[in-house]
Formats: sequence, C-alpha cells, structure tokens
Amino acid sequence: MTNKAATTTLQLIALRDPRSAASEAYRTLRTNIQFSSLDKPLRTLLATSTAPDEGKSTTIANLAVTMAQAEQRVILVDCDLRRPSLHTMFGLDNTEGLTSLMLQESSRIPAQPTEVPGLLVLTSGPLPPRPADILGSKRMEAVIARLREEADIVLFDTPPVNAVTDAAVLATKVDGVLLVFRSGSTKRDRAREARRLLDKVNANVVGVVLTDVKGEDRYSYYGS
Amino acid sequence: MELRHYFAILRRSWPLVVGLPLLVALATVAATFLLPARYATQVTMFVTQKPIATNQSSVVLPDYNNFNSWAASEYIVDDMLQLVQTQAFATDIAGWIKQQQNLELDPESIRQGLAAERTHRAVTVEIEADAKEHAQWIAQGVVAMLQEKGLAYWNRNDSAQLSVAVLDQPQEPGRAGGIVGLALDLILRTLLAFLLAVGLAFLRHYLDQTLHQRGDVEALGLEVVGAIPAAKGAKS
Repeated sequence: MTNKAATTTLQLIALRDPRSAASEAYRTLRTNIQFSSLDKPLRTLLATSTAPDEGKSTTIANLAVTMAQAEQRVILVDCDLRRPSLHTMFGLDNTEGLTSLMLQESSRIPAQPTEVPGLLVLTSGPLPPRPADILGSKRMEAVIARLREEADIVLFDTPPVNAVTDAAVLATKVDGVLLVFRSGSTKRDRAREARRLLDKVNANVVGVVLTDVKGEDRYSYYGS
Repeated sequence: MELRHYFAILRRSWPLVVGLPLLVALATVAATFLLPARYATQVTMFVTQKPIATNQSSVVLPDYNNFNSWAASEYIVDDMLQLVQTQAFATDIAGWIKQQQNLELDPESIRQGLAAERTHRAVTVEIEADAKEHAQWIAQGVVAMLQEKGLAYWNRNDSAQLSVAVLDQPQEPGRAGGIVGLALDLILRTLLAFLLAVGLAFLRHYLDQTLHQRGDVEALGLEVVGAIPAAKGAKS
C-alpha cells in the first residue's frame, strides 16, 4: 500500500473500518444531524472550519459515507476551489467537476460514483481565479437546486470560513452549516470569529464537530 | 469541574508531568555520584556552666549557685547553635588544627560544614568536610575549643567556666547523607518536581486558548453534534 493510499484509507475510516470507534462517531454524527431539524429536514449541508487541517474534508467525506450506508442518496461536492482534496481521498479524476458544471451549459452533472453505493462525488474541477464569485453566483444556486433533485442530501466541502469568504457566501444558500474544530488546535477566538462570520450572513449553524478528540474511544470495544 | 477533567489536563501535558520529575531524579542521582564526596560525623555533648567556686565560708549559697549554674547553662546551650556557625569559632578550630596537625584548613569551609542542634541540654554538632580526616579533626577541634576557650566566646573572662561532657565521641566519618539520605533527597526532589510539573500543567491549561473538549465548545454557545476520536493521518 502506498503512503497516499494508506492516508486515504485512514481518512475514509467509515468505509475502511466500519467497526471502529471513529466510524461509530460518524454514525452518531449522522443521527444527530438527522434529528437536529425534524420539522424541516436538512437537504443541503456545508462543512467549514476556522483554519486548514482541522479535519473538515475528512469529516464531511466520512459523514457522506455513513449517510450513503444508511441507504440515502448522497452527493458530496468539493467546493474548496483553492485546495480541493475530495478527489484524492476517493481516488477520482478531477479534470471535470463543479467548475465545469458552472461554466458550461451542460445538462449532465459530472458527479462520479464511488465504491459506496448511493454516494456520488462532484469534484472541484479546474480551479477558477475567483472562487467566491463562482460560489456566490445565481448559477451556483441553480446548481444546488439541481443537486437537491438528484439526492436525498447534498454535502459541501468548503475552505475555512475565517480564511476566505467562500464558505460564508455558500452558507446563505444551504440548509445548514457544520463547523469542524480540531481538538487541541482550534483557538477559542478563531472559533468565536467563525461563529460571528456565519451569524452575520444568517447561516443556520447546525453544530460543531470536534475532531481528533482524546478519550472519545470508550465504546470501541463494543465494535471491535 | 470533574476529577477526570483534571486528569485530562494532566494527560495533555504528560511529557512535562512525567519528564520533569524524571529529569530531576536523574540529575539528583548523577549529582550524588559526580560531585566530590563529602564526609560527615557528629559529636554530642552536655555543655554547662560550672558552679562558681567559692571559698567564702561566710556566704552560704549552695542552692543558688547550683540553680544559677543550670539556668545559665540553658542560655549557653541556646547560644551554642549560633556559636558553632560563627567565623570566630571556625577560625579558632582552624588554628587548633594547624597547631595539632600542621594542616591548614579554610575557616570559611569549616564554618559552612558546621551545624548544631539541641535536645534539652544536649548539643549535637554535625560536621561535614571534604575528607574523612578533616571531619574527624574538626570534630575534635569543636570539643577542644569549647573546653579551652569556654565562656570567652561570651566575653566572660571572670571566674565562670564551661563544663563540656562529651557523650558521643566523633565516629569514623561516613559519606554525607548515605543511602538513606540519598533516597530521601531523591524522593523529596522528585516529589517537588512533580508538584511543580502539575502546577505548570495547570498553568499551561489556564493559558491555553485552544479547544479540547465538548465543554470548551459548549462554553462558546455552540452545540457539539459530533466528537470524532483521534486517528492518525486524518487531516484536511
């Protein structure tokens, strides 16, 4: 196994090791999200963080896997048009993706199937010069509407909200926002700033996913 | 705050909590064997003021004489603890050794190696020196100076005299501290280092601005919908 493949395996733990404590934690996250808004089910959900390397892409990818494993039709969209990573994580081609769909009047959504039945990944595609303009455009709203038709839930991976405006722009167009913080890494003031930025655009913050938590594997014996 | 929260704080700083006491313990052991050895002995004695002799048969004060002798002895023993650590006393001992052994010892070094403690009227003088022979001679010098100069240290050159009764003669000097001393030293220093490390761990936690647990996030007014356990390689 190459290093890259090993990293991917570790990142998609919900797929590779469904009996692990982390996989169970993702299933709990799935349940919590499903029950967080019973009156108005979340159909589009965005994940962002305060800074790079907080586990946002890994979290949203594993969440997508667990949702698909629960027989939901899931489309995972890589809206990080600066440092896309989902294509690497799933081993997919990135010559065509979200930006292709945005820039061309194509009727076909270039989402690619994965080894998880029910899970499609729409990679970022070629990187544009001004990602925020693309994500905030009317065309993006139309794309989101189309994606909603094709899936039970659409998940979006975005850049850190404190770093660039992309996530805040897109947050206004989705049903909910997940904030991903890394235990022992995310600063309190940055977390407050992320919350303030999302509140400013009236985003519906569903909650926080805390990653890399020590001492959260107490149920692991139950599954392994 | 729950006990396990305290434990989590310590666990986050485990290299400090474990490393600092370990480092201190190693340093203590290393210092014991690497630094030049010191040798110690001690001498225990009763030091009292002799009753004032009187041949004035017309004066009958035997009871007062004895009483005054014991009362004065209390003050003398009290003062002994300071006396043995004075430069004057150390200089006298150095002179006595020079005279007896033709060996020159530094009075300041002698002074630093002397300490005394009292139990009732018994005084124990503890002597430490760089060599066994030095410790032995200094111990003998302590007794000799008290016997020879006596109350002259109090500037009492009248008829009053000191009586020095040696209870325990200086033993063959042994390595200062010994195994028990080293063990106690090691335990004490390691314990202090541990307490310091715990204090530093809590200070680090207090100054730490990063989020660690659910409670930290909830304190910001945000709901935690998921907590993913640590797994290597999970980055984005």
